[in-house]
Amino acid sequence: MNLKSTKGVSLVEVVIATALLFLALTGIVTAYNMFVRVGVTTMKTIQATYLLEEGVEAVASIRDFGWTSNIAGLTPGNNYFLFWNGSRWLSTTTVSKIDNTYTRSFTLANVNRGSGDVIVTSGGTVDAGTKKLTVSVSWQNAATTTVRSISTYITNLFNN
Amino acid sequence: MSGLFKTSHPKPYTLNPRRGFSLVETIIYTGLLVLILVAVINMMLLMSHSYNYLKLSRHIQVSAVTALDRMVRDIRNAQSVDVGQSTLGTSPGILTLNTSTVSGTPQTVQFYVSGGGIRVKQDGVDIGPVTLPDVTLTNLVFRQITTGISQAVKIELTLSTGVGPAARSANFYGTAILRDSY
Repeated sequence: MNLKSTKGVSLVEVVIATALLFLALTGIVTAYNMFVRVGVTTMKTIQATYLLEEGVEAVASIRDFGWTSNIAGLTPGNNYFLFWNGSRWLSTTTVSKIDNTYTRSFTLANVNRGSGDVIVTSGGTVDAGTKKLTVSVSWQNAATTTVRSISTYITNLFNN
Repeated sequence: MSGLFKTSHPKPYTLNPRRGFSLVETIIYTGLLVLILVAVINMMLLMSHSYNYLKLSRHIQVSAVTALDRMVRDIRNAQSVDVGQSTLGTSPGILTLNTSTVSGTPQTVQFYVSGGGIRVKQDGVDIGPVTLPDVTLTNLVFRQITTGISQAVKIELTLSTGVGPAARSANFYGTAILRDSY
């Protein structure tokens, strides 16, 4: 590899050097591509996180309007959606997309309590004043659908 | 191409230093070099583009998380919305909350828009921005929910940054019940 010799650089050497250079560059570009993709995903995840948080608060605000009239009548296990009527949140069965991207739904499940009023997953008796709330936000990410969910218990806090 | 590397040297594909380069060789080499340079420069431009994109996205994310978390926490801590000191239902909105400090002293907290960013006032004294300086607020609407038992505030926030093709914009939503309102 002494370049001062009269042999010059052989074609094989040039090809190998170019191949190595391109290999390194391809690696860097691939990594960069991934960073950009993660950056886009992060934005969507943050937006979805706030939609989830809002979903829980919105259902709690519906609860505040009256447990019996708004929460007790919803069928456990069914998907409901949140609808803003201009002055309050309402539950609806009509699907609507937020910003044409996110679909937010919530389901309620009955809560059973065993001895000592401890919440149990099997047995016990249904507590009419408590529901398990699960809010889900789904969105399309290229060809796949991403779903994020959070769960909490809501109670008939105001006995209304 | 067949005569390109034909030399008096016994080994093929080796340049003979005494022969130098023919014009055709020089043109082809320069052409290849230009092609590679174009590819590399193009790639570097793309990378700086995406770096800018990532940077701007990050600024929007940081601003949104800071602003929304701050607002939601203060709303949850509040007793009531000072409707007279607030701009509800339109952008740019102003939200004034009657809240209290950790020690229980009454305090007003106001979120308002100034210079394209969201700023916070405590008891009428500006304590600073909650969005980054290069992020512009394009929409901020506060809506009040009165349930009869409690109060809640719905926030609609749009943040943008960058100009031209690098411009980024994102919507964020939040609702929080005033835990001290019941």
